[in-house]
Amino acid sequence: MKKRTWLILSLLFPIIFFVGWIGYMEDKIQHASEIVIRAEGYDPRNLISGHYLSLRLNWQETDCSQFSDNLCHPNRFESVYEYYIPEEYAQKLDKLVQDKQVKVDLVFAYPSDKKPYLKRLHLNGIYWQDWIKSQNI
Amino acid sequence: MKLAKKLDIWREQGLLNAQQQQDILDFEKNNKKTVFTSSLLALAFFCIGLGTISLISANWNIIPNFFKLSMDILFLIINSVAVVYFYNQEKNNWFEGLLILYATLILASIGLIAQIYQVQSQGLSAFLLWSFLVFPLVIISRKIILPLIWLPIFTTSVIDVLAEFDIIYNILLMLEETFPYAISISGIILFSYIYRFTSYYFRTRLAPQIKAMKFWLSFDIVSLVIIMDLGLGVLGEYGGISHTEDYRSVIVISILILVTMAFGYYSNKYNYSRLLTCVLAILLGFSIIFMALPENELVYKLWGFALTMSILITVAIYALIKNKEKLLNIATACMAVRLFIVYIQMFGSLLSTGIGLISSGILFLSLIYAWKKLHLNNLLIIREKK
Repeated sequence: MKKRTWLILSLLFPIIFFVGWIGYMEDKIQHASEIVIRAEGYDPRNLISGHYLSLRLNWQETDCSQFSDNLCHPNRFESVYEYYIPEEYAQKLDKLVQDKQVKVDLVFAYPSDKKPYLKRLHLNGIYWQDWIKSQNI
Repeated sequence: MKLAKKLDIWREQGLLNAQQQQDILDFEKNNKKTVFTSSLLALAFFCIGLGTISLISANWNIIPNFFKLSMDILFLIINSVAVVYFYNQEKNNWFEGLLILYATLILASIGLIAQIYQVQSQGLSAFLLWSFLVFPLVIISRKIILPLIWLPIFTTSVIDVLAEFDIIYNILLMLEETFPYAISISGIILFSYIYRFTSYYFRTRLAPQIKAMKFWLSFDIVSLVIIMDLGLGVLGEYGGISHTEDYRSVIVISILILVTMAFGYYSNKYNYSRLLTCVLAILLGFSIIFMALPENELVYKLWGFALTMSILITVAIYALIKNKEKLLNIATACMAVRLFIVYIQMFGSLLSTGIGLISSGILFLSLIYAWKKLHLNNLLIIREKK
């Protein structure tokens, strides 16, 4: 293979991969049912904490009737999730969550045959951005 | 010695005339490598790439996700077109700089997609993905910088991800229990094989990549020797050294010896890497000796000293045979530093250290005298001719 062709293919490879990845994620989100799982603050003590929220799923306070068999399936989920939020809100929200001043819910796309995918963060039952607006933070 | 001074001496000796001297100086002036500008260009693109990652990490709320993703793909396409353009124009510095920018943009894209879709990372898996996506570009790269960045990121992330598998984890555990630093020594032996295989079959096609491998292999060996030498002493103080002596240790040690011997056999057969073979043998040999040592801090310190000095003496002999003056000077300077450290380690007081160092100096002077009297330089020259 000519060097120039190899170069073009090498440059195209990541672009094709990213387009495919985005398409796959979009498809997964659009075609899966949603479930809401209660979460609570978790302090990972790592270097970049404060740039996202670290949340541990709380199965005791989760409504298991959302699942088709009326049973919760914690083994299909990770135990801790990281939710990326803009840095201007990250630290304030982190403190509110750690101090348990808000009820935190994670909304997942729940495909039947694939891993659940984290879609949104709800604070006191509403989308976190709307909640921030309502609180004038 | 500077070229101009060297040429003056050669002219005085009648080896070349004034015209030839001027021609050589003109040639060197016109063909001077633009190391400074190319390095600065690479650094500039690397900074721009890192800045982009940082901007994306800020996760701007005001920009819609679709727009962010589209812009990211557009940046990648524009960057790709620019890379191909400068490749066709044969402007190597720009080509290489933009290749580095493209590689950093790939990392930024992984971060952006992970943020937007809330993808949960498993250890260093994001860096492993980056390594796979960038690998073809590393092969194409004409300079050492991109391979130099890529190699440690790939190695660290692949080890991190592989260690998640039970079989690999158990192998690493077994190595760790055999003797201290067995994992690092095994890693260096494996790396030596990959380095040798690549440099034997792709010496001209992958010259910058092989250079990068050589750099990291040397760096790994030097770091390991320093850690083994000074680190074991510290571990010994806290009683943190443990090793098992069961049938698994025998199997592990036998395999490591066989693998090192095979490396030595092929090195000898194809006449390459004798120094690397010697260094590997010394590292492994000293590790095995370590298992038989009594648990004593002073013994550990002496063992560390002997290990470093053995490596340095081997390097010095290699430099002497191959006529590598700089390497010989570095090895000798390191030996002097290590000698000074051992005196402090062993004796502690400045008086005894001073007496010890003066005695060592006199010993070295006697060695130089004996070396000259016995005409050992001639012996080395004859060996090299053979």
